[in-house]
Amino acid sequence: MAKIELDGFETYISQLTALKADSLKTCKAIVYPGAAILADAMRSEVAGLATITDTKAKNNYQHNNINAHLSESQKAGLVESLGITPIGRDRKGMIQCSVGFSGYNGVRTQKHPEGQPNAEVARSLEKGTSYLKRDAFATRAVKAARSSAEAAMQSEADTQIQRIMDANG
Amino acid sequence: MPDKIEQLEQALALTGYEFAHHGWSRAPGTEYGTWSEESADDLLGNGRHIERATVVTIDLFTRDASRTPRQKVEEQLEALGCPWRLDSINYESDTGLIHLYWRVSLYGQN
Repeated sequence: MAKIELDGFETYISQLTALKADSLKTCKAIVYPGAAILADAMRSEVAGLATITDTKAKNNYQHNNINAHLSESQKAGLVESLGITPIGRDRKGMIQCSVGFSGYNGVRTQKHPEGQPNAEVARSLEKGTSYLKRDAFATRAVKAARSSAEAAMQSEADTQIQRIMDANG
Repeated sequence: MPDKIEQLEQALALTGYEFAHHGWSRAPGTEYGTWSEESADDLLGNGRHIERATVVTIDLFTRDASRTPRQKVEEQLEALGCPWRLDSINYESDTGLIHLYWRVSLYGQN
């Protein structure tokens, strides 16, 4: 009767078991460099946004004129609040995080006496409103960062998998 | 035969709404429409631009909360025969306007 011998099969099983055991931690480590690249691209886009002075913006508002750009304080709010959320697993099981804006800027209005929400300002600019021309800065950032973010995550995935395989080899 | 950009202008005129080219932003609260060329969406192959296409954005700011504005614009976009999608619908609480935003890829301009 033919006999088959498999060398290293148990080692391979233990490596796969180790990969599975640490999968959440590994995936989070893989997502991080991609998020960092996207955050850098977003920071660069925000830094390049054109502005008008706060005085001019307030004047436009009081005289029912439109604003072609964000005010300096609105832009400052975006610059200061740009961040990355903790990496976690969403309801669909995807491991991901968000790059975006939080908190409030220093522009106090009747509607927003505590300051305008930075996320709302970002959305207004990204999609445009009846009084603010669209400037899809976030779409541009994603487009610019996508391939390098994917490459960085692929590289990190290779490194992480190799590390676990070596540690259990 | 008019080119695709001219056909789009004619199609928008048939919606019954006024769409200005690059006419973004009016006095806050004013109903208006605008369209703009945004970028290229060419089909590339063999190191050539096999087919040229232009991405056009269409924005309509209206107080009409019914489906009518959407239907009127989308009927014309369908008749145009180019791929389009409704990117977003947003209610502006400070002006009371509803912002409808479409993206159209106008191909066949070689």
